[in-house]
Amino acid sequence: MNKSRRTQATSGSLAGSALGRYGYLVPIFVLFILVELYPFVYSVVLSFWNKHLLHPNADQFIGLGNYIKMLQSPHFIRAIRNSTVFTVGSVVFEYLVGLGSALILNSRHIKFRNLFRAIVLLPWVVPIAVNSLIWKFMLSPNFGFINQLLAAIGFPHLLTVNWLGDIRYAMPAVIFVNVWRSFPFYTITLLAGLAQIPSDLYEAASIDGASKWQSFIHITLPGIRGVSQVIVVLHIIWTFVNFDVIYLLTKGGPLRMTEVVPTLLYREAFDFFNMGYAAAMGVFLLVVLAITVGRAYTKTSSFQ
Amino acid sequence: MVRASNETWEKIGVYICLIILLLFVGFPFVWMFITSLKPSNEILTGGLRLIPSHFTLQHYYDVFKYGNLGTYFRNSVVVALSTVVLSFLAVTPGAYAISQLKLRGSAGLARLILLFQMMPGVLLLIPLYILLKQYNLINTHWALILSYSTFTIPFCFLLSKSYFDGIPSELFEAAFVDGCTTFGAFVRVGLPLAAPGLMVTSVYAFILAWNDFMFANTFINSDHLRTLTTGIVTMQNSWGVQWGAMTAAATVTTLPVLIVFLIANKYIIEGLTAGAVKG
Amino acid sequence: MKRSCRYIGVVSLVLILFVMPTLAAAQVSLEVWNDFNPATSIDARALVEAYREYERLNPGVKINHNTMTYADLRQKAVVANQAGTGPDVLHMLGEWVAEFSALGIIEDITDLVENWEDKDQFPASTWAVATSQGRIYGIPSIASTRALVYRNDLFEEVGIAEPPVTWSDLRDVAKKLAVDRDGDGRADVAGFAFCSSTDAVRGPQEFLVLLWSTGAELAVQTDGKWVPGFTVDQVRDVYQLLYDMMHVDKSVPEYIRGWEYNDLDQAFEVGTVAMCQNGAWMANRATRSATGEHWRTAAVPYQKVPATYMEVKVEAIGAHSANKAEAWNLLSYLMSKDQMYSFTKYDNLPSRSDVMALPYYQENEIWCKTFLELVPHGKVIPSIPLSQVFLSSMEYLQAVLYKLATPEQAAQGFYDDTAAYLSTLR
Repeated sequence: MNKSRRTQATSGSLAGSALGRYGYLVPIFVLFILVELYPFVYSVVLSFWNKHLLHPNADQFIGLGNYIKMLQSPHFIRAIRNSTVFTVGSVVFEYLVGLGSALILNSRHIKFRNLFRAIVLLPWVVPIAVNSLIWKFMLSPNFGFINQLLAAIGFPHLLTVNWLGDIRYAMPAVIFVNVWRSFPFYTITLLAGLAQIPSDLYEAASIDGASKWQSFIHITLPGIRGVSQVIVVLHIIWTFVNFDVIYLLTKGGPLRMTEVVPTLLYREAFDFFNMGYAAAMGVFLLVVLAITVGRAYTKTSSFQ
Repeated sequence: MVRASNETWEKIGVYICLIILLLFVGFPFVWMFITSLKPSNEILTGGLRLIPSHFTLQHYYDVFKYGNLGTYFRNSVVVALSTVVLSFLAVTPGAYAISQLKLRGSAGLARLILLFQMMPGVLLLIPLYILLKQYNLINTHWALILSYSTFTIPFCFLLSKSYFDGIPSELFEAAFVDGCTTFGAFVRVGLPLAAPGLMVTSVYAFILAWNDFMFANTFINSDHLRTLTTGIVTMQNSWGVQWGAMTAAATVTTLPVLIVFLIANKYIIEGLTAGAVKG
Repeated sequence: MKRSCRYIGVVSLVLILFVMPTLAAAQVSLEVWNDFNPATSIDARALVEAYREYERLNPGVKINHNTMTYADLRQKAVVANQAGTGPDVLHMLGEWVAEFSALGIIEDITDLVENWEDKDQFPASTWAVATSQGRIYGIPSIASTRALVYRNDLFEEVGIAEPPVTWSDLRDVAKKLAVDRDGDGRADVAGFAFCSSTDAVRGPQEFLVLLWSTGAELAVQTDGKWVPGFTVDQVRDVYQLLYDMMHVDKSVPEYIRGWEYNDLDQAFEVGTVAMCQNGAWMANRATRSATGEHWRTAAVPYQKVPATYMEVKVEAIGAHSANKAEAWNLLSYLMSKDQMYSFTKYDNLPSRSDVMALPYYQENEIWCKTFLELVPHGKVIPSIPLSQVFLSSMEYLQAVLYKLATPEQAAQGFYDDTAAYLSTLR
């Protein structure tokens, strides 16, 4: 009975302060323009210029020159390929390890679940600078823990393997470290997803004589589909643009086997000071992301 | 009988998996801690022994006395907290307005911000440097707080908007009927109801800011302004890594995180998952 | 409404409290950018101690020591300069002098140096490093060379009396050293090892020493243009030597591919490498290693001419410094005889002749004298931006070691890349 009155009051109150209502957007708008939009537009503009810090007087508009140079560069092509391998490898294994660990922690036999959950999350919370340091140490040839352990359990020839410095192992090694660091996010999120599956579904299935495996396929997996989509899409983006992990572990080496687009961009910008060229790579990175996962991302994210 | 035994086997299996998982996750930290207590000459040649033949606190003494670790730690806390506060102040009114006040064009803004969450940080590094320099902010904590906003703002905005979305609009309408201004409704209804979610958002933003290496490495030159991440990496100087000092510094960095987590883990974790599960 | 005001007030207060930078009370504050890290280096602690002493002698001056790795030092100096700022005192590699002076990062201090009474205590060769286009841009602080560091005990075990002198000696000795003692079918130690990582400077430096010893230069200037100072054959010889040692003699194990200096130094410390090119800082590691007492030093083996890398570090005054007079005072104090002696004991060797003449250096046969005696063969890296050349030298080296390219192909590639890059310099 109050419906019409309320609507009236609401619209009245809303209409009365139209300007004020937009005022709420001012803080985010200002900050957004300052730290996101302006730098982004600046980068796009920069990417059409030849700007080199060592030749300050040679700034020149070159149109698509940087993009053409980039697409013709074997280093860039390799970086794109490495970025793809790194991203796909990381996300697949992160998901598998994350799902496995979530299932373990979700088991009804486990006590102190909250404690274990907190421990599992540790690699994700500790700064990458620390994580990469620990793993550089653990994976060192000769005296690294992993190498010594492998030698002790019957693989003496692995004692001297330079995991992060050998062209055959460097990419798997950085993926391994990245998976170790990132999978806890999957664990925690999937665990929350698992908790949302009504337990009577499992009971009903078990009464119908379904095996554990069948319940897993027909109840668990569909139950966590939504959560899985979100974390996978998010991690594809985060991994594709991640700079810290590879920079701190290998700086893109050996022989550029782990050179991904962000580290190549950084090298061009801050080792060789080719700012315009580096900016072109950044813009390219964003465009690739927008084309490939942009749709999935806007669909699955909380914005709907 | 058979059931019970199956049950027992399952239990054993689960616990074996759990132990493997905990070793996988935790052992690197344990090894880091052990190494930090070893004398320098035992670090490379001590083999797999878990208990060193001698314990020493020398490395801890060194990193605190000579290495400014305390300063780095304080800086990390200051920068991460300030980032959270700034993002919070900027983001919540906007998220509230877009979620509940049905502004025209707000969907477009939300979509734009969403798109910027994909923005590679390295792409913003160059223009941000030039921009910050124009305002004389290079080598200040402001440089970090503003650059961290590039990733906390989209994230915090989207997450807090989803929390405001979760509040039934009837509650706000009731507040308007009672004579609240839109701001009054924001403060009296929106913030309290979204508070748990906003706390969670803040914790997440804090971690993102705490972990950054790239911006801190590029924008900070002075030792007394460094954060932990860059401080630790700098310890690897041209005469080689001193693993004792490095692991001691790494332990000091990890310990507070561990303690906070063991105390507040339930709350933090439940929050962290909210964003994704809601989606 | 009141509550919200309070909320905003508290939040902004927190923000202000946390972010407000603390203002230094000193009248003059000098920012020093340096690679010396007190957390890990004893010399660096002595240097910081020297700052504190200077502050006591000069009230009102505060010195902030900022540690950075060399890669960061260069990057930050260039980027900061672009933004019109920089440190008061900058510690730098000698090879940056020409580039940094041309970019206006560092201050011309020729007049100050000419009137400095200590000037003649520094060898002319070190001043040459600090000089560009006839002007002096800094004071040489550390000057040290690279030597062959080797394990005397392993030499004796296989009956070798003398360290190798030429490349062919090196191959012979390395082959004899890399033997299987415990019968597992693999050599127990690497006869020789070297850096080939693309992300550190030691690899290119070691590569350059070998290249120089063929009689080549890296780059030379003719008619104002930079061109490669080596032939394809000379680089090929270097790549061929390292290829042969790894794949023909098997005296260099394959697992050293991609090593950075840290891997090399640690392996030597642990005792799995018998010979390598290294610096005087290894004295520090010798004290920690079980085999340290058997470590010896000698000249780096050469092909045609003895050569070594002369590493000169230069202390410069930032061109953007607001306190140049104070910066010079500090520098001339730190570069005095007593102060230099205090911070060049463990990781570094001093540039001043009168410091080098002190008993501490003259009596330390292994870790000081050998290195000082190699100074006449020392060569410096041309003073032009060379990051790209260094990167490509290591990429081709790794390609050779992984058999992705023959030494000939790699040499041709390196020559072409270098020529192309040098032609872009003005």
